[in-house]
Parts: sequence; structure tokens; C-alpha cells
Amino acid sequence: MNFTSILTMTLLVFGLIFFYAIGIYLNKKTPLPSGCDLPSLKCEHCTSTSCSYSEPNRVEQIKTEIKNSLKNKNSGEGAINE
Amino acid sequence: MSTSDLIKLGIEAILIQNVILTQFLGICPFMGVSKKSQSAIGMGLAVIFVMVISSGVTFVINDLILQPNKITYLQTIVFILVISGVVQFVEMFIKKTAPFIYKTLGIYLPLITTNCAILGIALINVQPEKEFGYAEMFVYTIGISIGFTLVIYIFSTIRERLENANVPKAFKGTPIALITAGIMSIIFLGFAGLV
Repeated sequence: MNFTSILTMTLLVFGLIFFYAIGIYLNKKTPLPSGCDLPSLKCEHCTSTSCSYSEPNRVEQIKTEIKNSLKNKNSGEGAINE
Repeated sequence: MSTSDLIKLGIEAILIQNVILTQFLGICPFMGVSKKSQSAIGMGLAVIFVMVISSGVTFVINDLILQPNKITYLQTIVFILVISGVVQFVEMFIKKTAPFIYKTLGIYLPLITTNCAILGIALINVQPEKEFGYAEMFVYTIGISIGFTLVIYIFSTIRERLENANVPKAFKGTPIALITAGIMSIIFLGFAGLV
């Protein structure tokens, strides 16, 4: 690997990081068009908490759903045994 | 490549090498944003918009910088940064110049940064065995993004009908959606000998 390649590589990567950072900064600074309220868009198909689509508190919701279904199942079995 | 070859490539990209059902890229928005047909169309349009721009930019960077300097191993990181940056600038540009388009696509643009189909197609376009020129890259990318929009729209209409269907309790929601996606994938395999 020669010096030019290393220099190009460094400039390219840092240039792109700078490009991205500037993009985020300018985008945040730009005001939303008037009368434009975006609705929230969330997915509830998995328990991932890191995904940007994921609905917040989804894990807690699933835990509650499972607990409720187990409770219902147990009470149903009890009724059969009785 | 002649015009008929380009048309064949476009049809191949839409139906035979469909990005969702054959290449299994972009499954996350396919499942997450397909509950309503309106949101599916919005996502599809945003994908067409961003995929064409980002694939064009990444192709040029690969052609002019990465390949001559023999640093193609940087493709993944460079392409990720380009896609993320391009999405930010596109969003800002639309906010300023076209509020109507922003109302339609705005919500989907940030989500697209994490869409693996965008990165996947940018990487497929620069594969040496594909031997794509600028025209082929453009037609392939447009075809792939139209294929994405087509499939996500069809899937959303099916899911809307499934909401009212009498589905067994165990299959309601994601399970029946996955079964539907599987059947759609098998159907699309039928296009294999088309071109």
C-alpha cells in the first residue's frame, strides 16, 4: 500500500464522516414546513429495542400479554380440574 | 448494452431478482410498514427516491476513487456513510423546497437509513462480476426499487384484507403475515424463466 492510497483512504473516510455530520446539523437546523406534523410510525413485530421502527415499551407490553395469557390458562385449567 | 437488453434487465430486477422476495433484503420495512397500503406506497416512493440517488453517488465514488486507488475493501463503510449523509441532505432539501413531498415521504426518509436493501443494492451494483456501466446501474436500481414498491404494496393490500378475515388465533398478526410472504416468495419464483 503506497502513501497516496493511505492518504486517499483517510481523506475519504473523514470527509464522509464530516459530510454526514454536516448533513445532520443542517437537517436539524432546517424548520419543518408549516402545517406539517408527521405522524409516528411504529412496528410491533419483534421485541428489538434498538431498531428505529420498534415501538417503545414493546417488551413490557409482550411481558404483560404473556402473563395475562398464562393467568387465563391457569384459571381455565383450574376450572376443568374442579 | 442495447435498449432491449436494458428492458430485460429492468424486468429481471422487478420480478425475477426481486429485492424482497428473492434477495431477502429490506424485510424489516416489508413487515413493519405494510399494515396499511397508504404507508406502504409512501415507503416505496421514499425507497425509489433514496435508492436511485444513493446508488448513483456510491457508483461514482467506487468508479472514480475506490477502484483507481485499489481501496475497494472500504466499500461497505464508505457506502454506509454516503447513504446516511445523502438521506440527511435529501430530507433537508425536500423540507425546504417541496413541503408536499415532505408530508408524504418525510416520515420514511430517516427510517430508510437503516434499510439494508439500499446498502445491498449499492454493493451489488459495484460487484465486478455484474460488469455494470452507468446505464445498467441506473436501470437495475430503478427496477429493484420499483420491485420493492410493487411487492410491499401488494403485501399491504393482502394484510388489510387479512385484518377482517377469520384467521385462527394462533396465526393472527405476524405468523399469517410471514406465511403470506412465504407464499408470495414462491409465486415470484415462477418468474424465474421469464427473461
